[in-house]
Amino acid sequence: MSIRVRLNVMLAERNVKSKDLAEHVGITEANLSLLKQGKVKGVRFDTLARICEYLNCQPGDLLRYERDESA
Amino acid sequence: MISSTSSDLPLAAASLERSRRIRFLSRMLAYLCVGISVILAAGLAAYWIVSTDETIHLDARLRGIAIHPIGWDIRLASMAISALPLACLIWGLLRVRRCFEAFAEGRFFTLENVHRLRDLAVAVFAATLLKPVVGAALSILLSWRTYATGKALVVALGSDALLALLFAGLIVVIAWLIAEAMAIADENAQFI
Repeated sequence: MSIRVRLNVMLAERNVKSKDLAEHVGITEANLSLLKQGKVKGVRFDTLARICEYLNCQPGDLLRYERDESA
Repeated sequence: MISSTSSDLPLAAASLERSRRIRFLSRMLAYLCVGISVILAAGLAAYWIVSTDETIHLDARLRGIAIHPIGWDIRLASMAISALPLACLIWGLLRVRRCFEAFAEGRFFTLENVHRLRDLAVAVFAATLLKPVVGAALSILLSWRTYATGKALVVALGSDALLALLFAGLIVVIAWLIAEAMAIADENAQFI
């Protein structure tokens, strides 16, 4: 996939537990896990805003575009 | 930060109110479907049992001279024949009743509801096509032994048939729209 989610890295850098973030954002831990693995079709702006608010970061810190070499 | 909570509140309240209205009306319509089915079936039976020969001949558009009364065998056979389109309609009504029950329980976009609505459209379509055929069969049956001049064949096509076909088409399109809405809802569910 071209868009890589860096949520795991951000959580580790800020020493934040997934459970706490999920609680703040208002989504289940299972959905947060799917988001961390990039296994979702999309992220709502509202969800993104709450994650950025809790982690004190920008959306660009959470997402990276990676050029697909095989394409 | 996106501040959507305050502006979304009236929308959420409107959505809740709309959902409540849909559930209430659907519950009423589910009862109405059963009521209409019972009334139609009872009305058909009562018509063939109670109606006078003159009324039956006039309703069947038979304007000739009847020399014999309509016997009970003919009445029962006529009732069986005219029950065919009604049976289609009642089947459609009972299918759509299940659809209304699902709406009343808050299950709006399901494949079962799409099938139920499609079944209603098929029922209306079949009943509409059967109606002139049944009318012609009834005219022959009713004039078979009662007419002085022999058998009569009456074929009647009305604008109500066209409207019924239009209604069936509308229901089919609505069923497809629900299927489309289901696909959109599925896609939205994959957004976190």
